[in-house]
Amino acid sequence: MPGGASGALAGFSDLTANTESPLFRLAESHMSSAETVTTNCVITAEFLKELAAVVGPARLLSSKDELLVYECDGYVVEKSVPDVVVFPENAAEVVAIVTACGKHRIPFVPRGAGTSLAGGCLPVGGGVMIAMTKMRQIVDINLRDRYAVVEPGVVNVNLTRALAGTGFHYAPDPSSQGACTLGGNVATNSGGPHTLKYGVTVNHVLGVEFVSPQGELIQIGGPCGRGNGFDLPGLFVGSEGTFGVVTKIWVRITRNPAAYRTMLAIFDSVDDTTQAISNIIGAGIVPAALEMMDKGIVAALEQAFHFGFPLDAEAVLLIEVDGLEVAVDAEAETITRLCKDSGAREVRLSQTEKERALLWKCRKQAFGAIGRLSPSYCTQDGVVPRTKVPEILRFIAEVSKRHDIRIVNVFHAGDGNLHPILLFDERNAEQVKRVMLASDEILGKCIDLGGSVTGEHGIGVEKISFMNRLFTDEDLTVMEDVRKAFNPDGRCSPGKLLPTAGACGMEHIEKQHPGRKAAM
Amino acid sequence: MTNSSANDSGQQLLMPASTAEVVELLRAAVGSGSRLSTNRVTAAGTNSAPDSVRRVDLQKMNEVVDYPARDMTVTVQAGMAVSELTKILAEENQQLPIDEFDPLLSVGALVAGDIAGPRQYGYGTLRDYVIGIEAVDGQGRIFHAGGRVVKNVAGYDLCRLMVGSRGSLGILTQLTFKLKPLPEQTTLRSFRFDDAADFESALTKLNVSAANPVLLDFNFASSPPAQQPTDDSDCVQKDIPYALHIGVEGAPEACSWQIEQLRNDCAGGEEVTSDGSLDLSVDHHCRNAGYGWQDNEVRIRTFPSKLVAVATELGARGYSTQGHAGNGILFVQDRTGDTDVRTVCRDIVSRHGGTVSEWTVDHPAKNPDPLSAKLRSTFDPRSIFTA
Amino acid sequence: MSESESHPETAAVGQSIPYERFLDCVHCGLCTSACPTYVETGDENDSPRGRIYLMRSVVDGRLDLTDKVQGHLDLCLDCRSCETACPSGVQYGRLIEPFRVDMHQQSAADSTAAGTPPPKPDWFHRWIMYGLFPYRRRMAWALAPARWMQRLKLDRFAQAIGLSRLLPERLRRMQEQLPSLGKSLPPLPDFLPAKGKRRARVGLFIGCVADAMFRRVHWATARVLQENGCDVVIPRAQACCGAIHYHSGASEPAIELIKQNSSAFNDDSLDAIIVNVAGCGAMLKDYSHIAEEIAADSDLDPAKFVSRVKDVSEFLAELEPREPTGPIDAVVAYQDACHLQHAQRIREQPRQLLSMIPGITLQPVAEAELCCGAAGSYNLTQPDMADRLGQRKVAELIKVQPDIIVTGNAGCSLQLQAQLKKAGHTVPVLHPMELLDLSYRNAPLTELV
Ligand SMILES: Cc1cc2nc3c(=O)[nH]c(=O)nc-3n(C[C@H](O)[C@H](O)[C@H](O)COP(=O)(O)OP(=O)(O)OC[C@H]3O[C@@H](n4cnc5c(N)ncnc54)[C@H](O)[C@@H]3O)c2cc1C
Ligand SMILES: Cc1cc2nc3c(=O)[nH]c(=O)nc-3n(C[C@H](O)[C@H](O)[C@H](O)COP(=O)(O)OP(=O)(O)OC[C@H]3O[C@@H](n4cnc5c(N)ncnc54)[C@H](O)[C@@H]3O)c2cc1C
Ligand code: SF4
Ligand code: SF4
Repeated sequence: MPGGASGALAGFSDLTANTESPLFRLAESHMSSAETVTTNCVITAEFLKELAAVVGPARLLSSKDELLVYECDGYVVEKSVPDVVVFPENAAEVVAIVTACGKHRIPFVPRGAGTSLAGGCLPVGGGVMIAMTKMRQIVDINLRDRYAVVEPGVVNVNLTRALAGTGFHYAPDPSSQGACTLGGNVATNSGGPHTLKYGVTVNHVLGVEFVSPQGELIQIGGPCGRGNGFDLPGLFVGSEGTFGVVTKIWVRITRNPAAYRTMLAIFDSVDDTTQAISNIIGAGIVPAALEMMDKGIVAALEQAFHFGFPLDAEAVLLIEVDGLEVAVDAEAETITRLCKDSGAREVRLSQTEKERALLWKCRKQAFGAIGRLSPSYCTQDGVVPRTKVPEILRFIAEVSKRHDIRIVNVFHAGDGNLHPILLFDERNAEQVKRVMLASDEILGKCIDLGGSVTGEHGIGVEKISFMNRLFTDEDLTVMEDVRKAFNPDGRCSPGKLLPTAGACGMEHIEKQHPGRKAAM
Repeated sequence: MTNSSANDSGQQLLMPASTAEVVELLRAAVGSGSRLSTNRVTAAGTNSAPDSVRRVDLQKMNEVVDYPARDMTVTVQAGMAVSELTKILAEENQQLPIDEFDPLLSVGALVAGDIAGPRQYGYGTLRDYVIGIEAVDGQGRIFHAGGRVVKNVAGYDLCRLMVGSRGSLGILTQLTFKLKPLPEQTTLRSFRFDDAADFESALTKLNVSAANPVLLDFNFASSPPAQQPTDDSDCVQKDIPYALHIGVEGAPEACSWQIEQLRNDCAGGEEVTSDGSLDLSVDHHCRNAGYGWQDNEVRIRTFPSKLVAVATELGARGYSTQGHAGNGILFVQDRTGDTDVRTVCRDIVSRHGGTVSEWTVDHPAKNPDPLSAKLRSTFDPRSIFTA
Repeated sequence: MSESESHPETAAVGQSIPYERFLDCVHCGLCTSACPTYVETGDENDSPRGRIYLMRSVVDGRLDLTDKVQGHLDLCLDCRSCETACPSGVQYGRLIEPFRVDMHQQSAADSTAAGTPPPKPDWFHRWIMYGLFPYRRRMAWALAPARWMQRLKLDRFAQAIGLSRLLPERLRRMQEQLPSLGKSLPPLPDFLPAKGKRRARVGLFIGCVADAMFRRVHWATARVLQENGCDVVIPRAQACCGAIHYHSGASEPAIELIKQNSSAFNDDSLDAIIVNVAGCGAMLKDYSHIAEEIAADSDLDPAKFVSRVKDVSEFLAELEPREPTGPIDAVVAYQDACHLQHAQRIREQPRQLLSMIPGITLQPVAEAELCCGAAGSYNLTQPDMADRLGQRKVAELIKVQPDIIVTGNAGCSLQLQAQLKKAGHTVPVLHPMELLDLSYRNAPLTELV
């Protein structure tokens, strides 16, 4: 089986039809399991009563017609319906829920906004889903000491909105920031366009309070960072829900740059574009953002937003430098020169705040605009060393031709974090199969070039089968041991991140997923 | 086979030349029940370990594994001296912006010790720079985490766990860092404040300064009330109650513009100019100011807004402090010979918030919390690594 | 569509909706945080993505249309905030609206099949919603006692002694929602001439509920238009926009009203048809889509009518309005009506007009994209959620300490006034045209508040 290179498949109609791909059989088995929940974990009336005693009947869903929408997140290929969804409002309730799950040996999975593109919220094997959407208070903002305390259900952009006018912001800005929660960001170590200069989520998390799978409320780190112990918050970030349920987060807040310059460089060849990327980074300039969009995506964006992109260009770079007013012009000039030296046809400096905002809106809504190019798409999240960007793009073009699948690119070029978007019609099963193969080849090539299969979306269930191509067996054993230190019986987010992350009573997964190492 | 030799103190020194040899050492240690330490015996003779402990020194593992300069990442073996790495990176006009104090320090020790100096204000700490690791745990298992790309979320972030683990979870054998360009120019300015309120107000302004300082250090000299200097021998103490050192960087015009801003922010103080005998440069300051852990020093991490209050209270009890004002970090010098310094610090911090620690005492492996203990027994179930 | 097809015995709800519309949704979830009901409950079932999933699952036969499913769909405000948020261009309104129509027809069909008389429309819909609201004159009659009660302060007396608690719940809410009605103004004449150089000739749509309750706003709108060189024509034959009928699944009367309005404004000399109530405007602009949906087989083609419909702020901003000079010293919080900002994508124009008035400080308000909970008759059918959203909205508005709250929709205005009253605030709620009119006339604010 060629790995789980399915990406986030857009649309969610029955993808399983007429396909030989093992991935499809796997997806199918999930889908059918969605119809009849077949966990070995038994949800007793007594257990439900205990949960209801914690959150009250109004904050508990247990009838099938209300559970169905929780069968998947932003990743729709695999589906599994939870047995119960609860909506705690505070840490004490989370403790009580997790404790009840422990007593009855029921698996559970935390969920934020459900924008995961890797199936992070999939309740593998059913069990309890703990929806954190009701814990959304911004508890404290301290500008002088540059931190904020938030509950995990706070939507990323709402923190930055709450900071509007203060001269500070919360730096990690995933494209999904308008919807995704900070709890989800912590769990997946989210990045975004501005992480090139400002770093990803882990670089901004000072402390985490969480409920361990054993039901203890634990605080690691805090507003002054950690003392002299292990960097437990650093380890926790990116654990994809497998270490416990986050109930509070201390994040660093960042000064707004005094000035920025946003540029659009227009190129007549992809090679020239990638050369420019490499020259900018190589010249020792760290732009705040360096994003590439190719011809295909530019066409879709132009249709959606009428920005005035040149439709005949092969690719454009969206470059932003920020910092001191006295310094940004010189940097912008250097970048302009480097782009022109690499063959840029034109470098436009955005003249107004409105123009800049529109440019960024185009970039951040790029995935969405794809709907205008084809009925379905699948986006990947591979990473290569930045100097390998030209090579991987040539490879992607070649794969596109060989499999006869149209692929467009919009990605964090400065980080080497690709988001090739494969276009297809999900009703054409044969084409879907080629999409799978093409995705798989691209991610394989990322590994060969010294990169990774995920820069920000996470492993989840989607890319689990790539783990043993990225890591040795020994690496995975050590990682599993670390998981056990937090989550000894694997009941917390089973079937995620590690190819061996099962839970008691999950034997059916093995039966349903031949060929997949997931679950015990 | 692993080289070994006896060092000055007669301790056996093991010098593996490859990761495979490190594994061998560990297997042997597991077999024989002996213990290993990566702690260097410093010239001062501190950190001397009991005789039963065999010391591992990675000085033979000091190569650059991969330096794709245009990717701005570097992969090196853990035994390379930080000063050596700095030199190699400087040739490409790049840097790992972590201040080290000791030219002989290895990159493994740098990471394991989570060493950080003045520029952590502008650049952050090692947790922001380590993107890949290779290490060998207490069971002789080689493990990797992260990779060689700057953005990667595959697998648990064991890089973060190893930063500051002080040799208690495994021996780091290889490290990959994310790099930064060297700045065109750096400039340091110092200001003195006679009055705590002026100092406080300058810090508050600097927090939202139009300039972009990379370091914001302070010192506050105090003499025990009972021992006020009778002569003028210790003029520093008398003359500079609070001193603030601020570093900026960038193009020359950006530096001079920023210095103007700093002067506005520090209007309540007086600019201290170099008399020629002092090298007022960022580089000199970071390497020689000696801001940081020293023997018997206590480190306080508090809120930046509480720094002046904490320093003043300590001063009133006769303790001099220095540290990273922008980060709320104070190092307390025990000049009184009073063994009670920790208790005093604890008391003050309990009122203002923060943590108190000492390099030798507060080893992460000694952390009493069950989670740390569990992790420790996961990586080193037989306690091969001495704490 | 023949009768038997639209009401089949085993009517598969939502089958008439083109399946591609469901496929447009890529399940990314970016719309969730823009949805007022989701923001309140945190339940995916109450989010746009969840509702699309529910509808699609019903269509796919994966889910029965249970009471719970219907409950989550009924809780939708149809505010279309999700459409603004969705980068994929999902036409949510064109999913939920036909689905609801089907849902109602289905329950009617079900009861027929069960041999029981159709319970729908219930007394409330029959007498109040369909019977009263759409007709200007009936509405004016119905309001007359209320007006007298208010004048005599009997309403407060009734509320104080708890008399109004004896009214059925929905009627009581209606009574609570009533704005202070003041004295009744004369109806607008058929024609009002332009002032100064004539720049355009426009038709004014005055609706039903709005005319009775907001005659003051109509007069102000007409005066502003006159002031800007517009001949204003007010055709007698016009009728209710039909939104209430259409949204509650009563297609036939909706089609009738579309016909009536199209012909009432079938006057080639009109440059534009001006609407000052966002909800009506959105409905009028949607006539073509609706005709396609519920009357595909008829020859109904309101395209010409639709192309000329303009919200008054949209029209004026395009026309480049005459500078208003009368100062109004006030902090103003502008509350976007969903039917303006989401359904018609009109956000900037009203703000632009208000900022032209000397003395006005326009304060940005947080959560501007969220509905205030009015949403047409929602207020009456989902009182609980309407109150939660209303109080949430009031809290945000009050944060900026406004002297005046401005909104461009009748329903929003009613809701905001009622919710402000409930929270113990006395800030007046006005229409942008009222302020503009005041400034043109150089009249004092006390005239309005
Ligand atoms: C259009 C689109 C664009 C995107 N762009 C980006 C991007 O630019 N960068 C990026 O990094 N990602 C991106 N993503 C992916 C996704 O938005 C992020 O992974 C985000 O952090 C998920 O947040 P969420 O609240 O939706 O979490 P969910 O999807 O609900 O959950 C994600 C994971 O976090 C866990 N989790 C959630 N809450 C908690 C909690 N309180 N405690 C413990 N675990 C928890 C879940 O179990 C799950 O494993 C994008 C997604 C979409 C749909
Ligand atoms: C004047 C002065 C100022 C200082 N200022 C600061 C400061 O501001 N900030 C600061 O953080 N420190 C500061 N230091 C601290 C100093 O850098 C540390 O004390 C020193 O690094 C510790 O050295 P060591 O001999 O104890 O152990 P080292 O051998 O240097 O090792 C340090 C730790 O890392 C572990 N280790 C070493 N190699 C490896 C490996 N390959 N794998 C795993 N673990 C390994 C060791 O077990 C040990 O726990 C200062 C020191 C001096 C003298
Ligand atoms: S409606 Fe639009 S924003 Fe919402 S989930 Fe579907 S595609 Fe995403
Ligand atoms: S129309 Fe409004 S209430 Fe309905 S789903 Fe969309 S955003 Fe939510």
